[in-house]
Amino acid sequence: MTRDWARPVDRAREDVRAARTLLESGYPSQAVSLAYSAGLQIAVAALAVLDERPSTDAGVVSAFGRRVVGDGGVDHEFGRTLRMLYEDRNDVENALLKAPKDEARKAIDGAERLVEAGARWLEEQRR
Amino acid sequence: MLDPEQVDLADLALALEDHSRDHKWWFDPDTGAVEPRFEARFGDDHSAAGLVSIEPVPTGVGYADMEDFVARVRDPRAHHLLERAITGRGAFRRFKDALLDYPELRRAWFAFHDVRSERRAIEWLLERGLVDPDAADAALESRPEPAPGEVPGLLDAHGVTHRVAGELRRLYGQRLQSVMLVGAWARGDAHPESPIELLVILERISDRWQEKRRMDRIVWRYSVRHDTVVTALPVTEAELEGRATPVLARATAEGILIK
Repeated sequence: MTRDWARPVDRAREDVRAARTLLESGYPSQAVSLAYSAGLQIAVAALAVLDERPSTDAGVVSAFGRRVVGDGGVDHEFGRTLRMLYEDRNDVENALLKAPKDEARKAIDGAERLVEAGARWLEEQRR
Repeated sequence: MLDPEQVDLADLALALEDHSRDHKWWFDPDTGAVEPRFEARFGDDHSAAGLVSIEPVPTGVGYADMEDFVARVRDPRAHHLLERAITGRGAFRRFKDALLDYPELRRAWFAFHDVRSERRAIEWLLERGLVDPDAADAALESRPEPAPGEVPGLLDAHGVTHRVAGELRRLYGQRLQSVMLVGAWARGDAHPESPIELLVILERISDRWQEKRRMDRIVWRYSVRHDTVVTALPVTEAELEGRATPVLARATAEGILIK
C-alpha cells in the first residue's frame, strides 16, 4: 500500500495560508472554518497511518485525542486545539457566533502549530 | 405494609414483562409472593382471595430499554448490528442473538436491564399502595439508573452532561442558569461518534468567545475522559427563547434541560 503523506500535509498548510488570506481580507469567521479544515486534514492523515478511519468529523476529533495524542505521544495541547477548532467552526457556520479578528488569528495560529506537530509525527512514523 | 426488599423483585420484573397467554401472574400483598397461575386449572378466583393481578407493561417499554442501550454502544460495528437487530418484528430475539457475539456488551445489557426492570417493579408496587412509600424510595435510591459510562464500550451522554454541568456550576456559581443537552444525544438518534452538544445558559454574556475559552478546560477534560467530543455554547435565556438561529430553534424543541 502506498502511504501518501505529503498531500494531506500540503493541503493542510495551504488551508492555513488560505485562512490567513481570508482574515487579512476581512473574513474572520470564514478564516476560522478554514483553520479547522487544516487541523482536520492533518488529523485524518495521522489516523489513516494507524489504519483508523472515523466516519464523521467528531469521530476524527475524538479518535485523534485517543490514538495520536494519548497513545501516540503527541502533546495534549494539540488534541485540545483540534476540539476547540471543531467547536468554533460549528458555532460560526451555524451563525451562532461571528469571529472577532483576534480570535480568528488565535485559531489560525493554533491550527498552524497543530499542522506542524502532525507533520513531524507523520515524518517520525515514516522512519 | 411490605418493604420492597421483602418482595422477589426479579420475579415481579419477569411477570411485568411476561405477555404469555397460557398463564397469569398474581401478587400476594400479605406475603409478597409472586406466582404464575394457569387459569384453566385453577379458575379465576384469585382476586377474591386477595391476590393482585400483575398485568404486563406494554412491549414498547422493553423496546425503549433496548433502544436506550443501543444508543450508548460506542463500537461502530456493534452499534450498527444492534440497531439493525431491533428494527422490525422479532426485535427482542434478534437483539439477544446479536449480543452473543459481544460478551462484554451482553453483560452490560443484563446489568442495565436488571436495574431498569427492578425499578419498574418497585414503581408498580408503589403505584398500587402495596409497599411503604419511604421503603420504596430507599429501594429506588439503592438502584440508581445504570451508569454505563463505567462500562467499556458504552457512553452515558446524560451522565457526562450532568457531571459537566456540576463543574460549570462551580465555575460560574449563580450565573449559570442551566445546561441543555441538544443534538443527536437529546433526540435519541445518536451515532457512536456523535458529539455531546451542550448549550450553557448564563444569566448574562458580555463576550461569548471569552466564555467559550473559560469553559474549554472542563469541556476538553470530559472529552478525553470519555473518548468523545463535548461542545459547549454559551447563550442567554432570552437568546434561546428568541430562537435566533435554526440551531437554537431546534434546541428549544428537542433539548433536555439539566438544572
